[in-house]
Amino acid sequence: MGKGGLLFNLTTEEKRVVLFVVGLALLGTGISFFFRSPGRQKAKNHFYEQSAKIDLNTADHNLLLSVRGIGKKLAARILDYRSKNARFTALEELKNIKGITENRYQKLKEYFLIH
Amino acid sequence: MRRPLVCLLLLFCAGICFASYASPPLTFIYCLAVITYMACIFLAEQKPAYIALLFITVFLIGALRYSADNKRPNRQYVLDGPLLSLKRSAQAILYRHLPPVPASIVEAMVLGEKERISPKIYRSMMKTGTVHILVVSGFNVGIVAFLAHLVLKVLRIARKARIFIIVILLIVYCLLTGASNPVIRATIMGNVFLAAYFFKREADIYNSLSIAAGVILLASPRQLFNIGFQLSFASVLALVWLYPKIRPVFRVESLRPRPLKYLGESLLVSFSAWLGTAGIIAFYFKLISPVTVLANIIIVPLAALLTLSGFTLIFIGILLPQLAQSFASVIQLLAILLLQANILLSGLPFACLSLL
Repeated sequence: MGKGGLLFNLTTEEKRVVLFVVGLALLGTGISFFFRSPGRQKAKNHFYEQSAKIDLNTADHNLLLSVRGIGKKLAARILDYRSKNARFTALEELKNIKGITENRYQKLKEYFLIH
Repeated sequence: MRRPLVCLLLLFCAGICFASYASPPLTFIYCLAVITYMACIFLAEQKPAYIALLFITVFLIGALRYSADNKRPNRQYVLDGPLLSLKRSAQAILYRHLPPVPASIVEAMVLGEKERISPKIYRSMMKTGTVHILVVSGFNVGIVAFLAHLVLKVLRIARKARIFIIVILLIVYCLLTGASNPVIRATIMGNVFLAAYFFKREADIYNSLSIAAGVILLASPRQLFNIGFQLSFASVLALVWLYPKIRPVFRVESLRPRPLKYLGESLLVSFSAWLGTAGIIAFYFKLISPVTVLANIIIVPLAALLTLSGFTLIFIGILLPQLAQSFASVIQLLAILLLQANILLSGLPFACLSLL
């Protein structure tokens, strides 16, 4: 490091950091242009929803158990309900299951979706 | 030479006792003090070991505080307020610029907050054996140390003062992310390395690993049966000990062209980590996932990039909020790639075998 300015006498480490940040910014600008069209925006959000939410009609016991607030009994009751009624047609049907109150339903519905 | 050390030690013990109001296990505190003392002698030998002592003791207070917290959840400490508001503002930046799903992933990686990760994502990562990327660990501690070192160097801070500041920052980061086992391990190891750098001596990785294990176990011995503790130490040990052992067996050294050699090396690193933890995972989760070896060499680099961009986003969000959006879109792309890779990998045949 010389006596001169801070910007022009960068060490390798510093150069790498500056390059990384600049590269990230440029790449990011490109990507935001790509995602600007409403169709792609929609596809992206759809993908997020698909990957984060559990499909009530295909979930197995273990997957249900991993949701906060669902224990073994409730998971069994949900599966029971599904096998009796063939499939869930709406998220509200969860409220028909014993043990799911309105309050609990509001918390649970975040985690689920139905195809 | 040794007398001031002992005085200081006693002073610190008194400080710890005072801080924890003596109700958490007192014996542990004294055991910790002894270990600290031994570590200092080991690190410093002839030199006055104030700094090393301070490094480790300050850390111990933090570790103890948090292990005591588990028993008394409502306890408030002096540092909690500022730390919490720091964390809140970082979270606010993430959620302002990102949709909830990528924001929750980055939040887990950078701030150690797993509350908002969707259980579906968590479970599918568990199946491919890559769930460890959602945990703050050595890599993050390394990034914090590296960034702090860089900034302080640019500011022309003297070497010794620099190390001291980095140690404090590491501890703050450790407490900020909730002082879980991997962070405590990485922070203690990092501190031992910094102390060695301070005294211009060479740090030994086994020693630093065992100091970390010793401190955690003394602060709360029950951790020995904690899955996180076992996995964290088993994987590091596998990387440090097993990897150099199996490396000559596969002769990756002689692989040409070079990209192939890198690929072989990363496969071996991934394989040794898997070998080290497979037994524990099979025992507790009744899962064996051979896909882990492949999954890690794809997902770990993505996760590393995601962590780096997450840190960048938080800093940019503080300094130049106008620019944050473009950084955020990189994170979105990386998150999509990560989730997609994970879905593909968990769909492979024989990806994950259940032992039940």
